[in-house]
Amino acid sequence: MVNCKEIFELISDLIDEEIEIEEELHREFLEHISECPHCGPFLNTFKKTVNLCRRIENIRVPEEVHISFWRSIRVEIYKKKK
Amino acid sequence: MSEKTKNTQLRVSPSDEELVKSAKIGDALAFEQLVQRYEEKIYNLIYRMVDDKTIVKDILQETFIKAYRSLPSFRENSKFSTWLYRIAINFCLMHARKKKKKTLPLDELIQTEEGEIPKDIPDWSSNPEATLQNKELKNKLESAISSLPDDYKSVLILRDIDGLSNKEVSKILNITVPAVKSRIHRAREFLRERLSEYFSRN
Repeated sequence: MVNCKEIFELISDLIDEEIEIEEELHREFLEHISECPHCGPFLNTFKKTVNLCRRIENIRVPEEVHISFWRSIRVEIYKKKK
Repeated sequence: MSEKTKNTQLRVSPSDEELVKSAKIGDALAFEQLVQRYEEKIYNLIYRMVDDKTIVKDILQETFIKAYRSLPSFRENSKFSTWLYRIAINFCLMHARKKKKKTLPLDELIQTEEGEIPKDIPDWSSNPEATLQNKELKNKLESAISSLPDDYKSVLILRDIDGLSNKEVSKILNITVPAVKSRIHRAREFLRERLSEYFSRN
């Protein structure tokens, strides 16, 4: 029988689909999760957290940073080699 | 359609590998293209890694200048992006060490013992407020990420925000894949707990 601890330890692997688990064990996992008052909410909130992180968007490089950055890059790559 | 537009559409943009090869033999424009490709990604990585936002632009510059100067010794046995990320992360860690930031080990941050499942978990996953459009939640998540110890923060940013694979992250940080997996797992759990706190208060 699977227990909460096993679910907890494998949850990242499970959602990243890193491990190939046997069908029977997988069924046991799902059964446990659907019945257990701890693992169901745990799995759902864990997955949700990862999904929120995945949706974080990049911020744009501020204009003044972008300009001074490019200036220094160009100075570096076009400076005369000694 | 004119010949000119057709040509533009047919032109396939060169791969990083091709640009690296050209840049190595002195094609400055090729290097500029690489910079263009990665400026925003590297900026965001640094922005999330360091606490002092005033040094972000310095590290951004240092990263690409170092990359340019080291390009002749880049042996191309990893992807250019992996190599570049690694340079940026190393600068971030160097600056953090200079500041001697005191970080708590994650054991102290996560109250539950490792491997022990927290009890009585409220399920907020289908709460309509659980979205990044909820600015308060977004801030909570961002500040939880920035409070992670560097070893965990770097893994979380690369893995879950940038979407890199465990293998790529292990190469960038020079740690084993199992170490990446263990860190990402604990970082996620830390964030999950912080978000749970938010929902239990609201």
